[in-house]
Amino acid sequence: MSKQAESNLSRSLRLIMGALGGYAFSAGVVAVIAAGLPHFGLVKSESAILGGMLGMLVYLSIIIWMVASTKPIRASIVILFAAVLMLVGAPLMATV
Amino acid sequence: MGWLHTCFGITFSVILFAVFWTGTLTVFDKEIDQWMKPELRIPITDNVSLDEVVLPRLAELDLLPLSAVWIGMPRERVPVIRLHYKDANGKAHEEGLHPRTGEVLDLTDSDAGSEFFFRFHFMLHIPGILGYYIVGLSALAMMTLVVSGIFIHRKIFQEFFTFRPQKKTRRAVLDFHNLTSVVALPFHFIIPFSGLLILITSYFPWSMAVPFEGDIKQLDAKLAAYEKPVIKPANEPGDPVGTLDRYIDRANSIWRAQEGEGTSDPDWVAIFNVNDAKTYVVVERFFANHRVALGPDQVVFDPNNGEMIDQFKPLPIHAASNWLEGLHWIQFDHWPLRWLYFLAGLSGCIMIGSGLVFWIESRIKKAQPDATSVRVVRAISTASITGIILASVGFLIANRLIPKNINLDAIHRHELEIWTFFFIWALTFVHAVVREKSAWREQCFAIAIASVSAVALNWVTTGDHLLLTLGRSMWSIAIMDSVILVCAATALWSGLRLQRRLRESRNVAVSIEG
Repeated sequence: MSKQAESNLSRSLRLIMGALGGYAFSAGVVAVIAAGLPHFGLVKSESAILGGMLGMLVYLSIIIWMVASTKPIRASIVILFAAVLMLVGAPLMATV
Repeated sequence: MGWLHTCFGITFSVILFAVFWTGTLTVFDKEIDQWMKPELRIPITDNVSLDEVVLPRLAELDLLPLSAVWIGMPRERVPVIRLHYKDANGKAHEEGLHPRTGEVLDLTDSDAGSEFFFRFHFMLHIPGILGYYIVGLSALAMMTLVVSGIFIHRKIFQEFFTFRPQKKTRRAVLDFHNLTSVVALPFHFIIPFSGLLILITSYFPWSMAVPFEGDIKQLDAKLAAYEKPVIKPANEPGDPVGTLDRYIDRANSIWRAQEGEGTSDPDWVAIFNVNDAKTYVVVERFFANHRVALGPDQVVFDPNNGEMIDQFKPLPIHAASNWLEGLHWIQFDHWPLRWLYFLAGLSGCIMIGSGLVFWIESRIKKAQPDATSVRVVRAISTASITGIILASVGFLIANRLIPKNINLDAIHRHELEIWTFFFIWALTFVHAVVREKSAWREQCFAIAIASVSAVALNWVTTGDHLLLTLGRSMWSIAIMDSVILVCAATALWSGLRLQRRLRESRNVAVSIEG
């Protein structure tokens, strides 16, 4: 593979992971905050708004991380793994 | 980071420019309304009595049982009483009432600023929620662009004081890009962020609904406070509300007791459970005590004895979110701040536009200047910058030229105005494809001519010329006309400058060939 093609592939991977993986991760963070904080006495609507407010900043950070990371593959795995964990865990936290 | 800035920049700058441009116009939406609906040009009235003005009108109407009636109090920027109600068939109506006589104003059918430009700003005139997502994605991209831009320009202070308009066009464009980005940097980050917060439940619908068993409507209902009825109807007919003024006085005295004299007045009064024995009144204001945080600050009154039964106050995190949303909505009365928003919005437009032009001009140097793709890309950038400005001025002209009582079967008058906007916008694209680089200059001249015509048409059709509006302190119209004239002067200046540049570069080419 030529150097140009390799860099294009890497950039596409970073963008796709930043956009899709980033959304999954931030949606997970929002859900965990929204479902988790009521266990510590916060009103449900308050925890949901707090999650939403932080969600976009988390999303932005993930995109920047994916673009800047020197090890994009490792970063992708971490993001996806954490996202799945949070997306599965949050509804459980809400029902406990 | 550089490639991210380029990649997101070219993908989103066309949409971002349109959103920023219409957002900047929306800063003066009520002024645009007064310009486009001349019936709204009424002097401000103090001590309005809703009992004398609104209650007789409500008695004439056949209202939908159990529906809600919303009454907007007259304000400096909206000097009429706004009445929203549903008729017996369930059809929604909106009326403007004269604050002194109660006469129903025959308003020009126009979407003007607070409907057309405002809606375009967050949904791009796309029906449904697709527009929300496109604008939301662009807002996220903008935050990314701001962050990556800071990474690229680490020598940010040095660059801030660098502007070399006499240098090569490309260099000057980049300096302009850096200057406008840095001068309003916090604004460029907070505006997309707070914009996302306004529609946040649309962007994380699943996640935010997790604590509510997946039902986002429960959350929406909690946040919307008393926009929905809180007292169950008795389902038996009852007398209509006898007084509104007394409720307003009572709400005012409650707020003054809590916040002191001089606190903000109510913005809306609502009557719920119309025609029912349990009809009740809610008095609402957007802002407690002239704060930024966008309410809703509401007082609910008991239908039986007229006492206050509840006062809605947002909880702390909701209030923090409201503060961020409030600084995006700018519904507060603060003229210097409103002008700063307008200027920061314009600086955002310049930042986006100059970034796009810089990218295109550097690519064209490398590519074949005559290639079709270059033509199309350049035409897109021309149409998305000067084109949308020309279309907006065209929208104003169409409003003044289309007769007020025009009666067409197929299309409403306000739709005709909107179609004119999109038609002119499409024309500017075709023009840019045909005329290539000259299109910039020619569209600048077109904006100058169109702007002067818009001001002239306002004079001809309403008799309100600039000297008259300034003399009579009709600030809304005076501001509109002056800003449109400044727009004309700027466009003329830019056009002449571009013409000189073009002539110089031709002379250089001739001397090289010679």
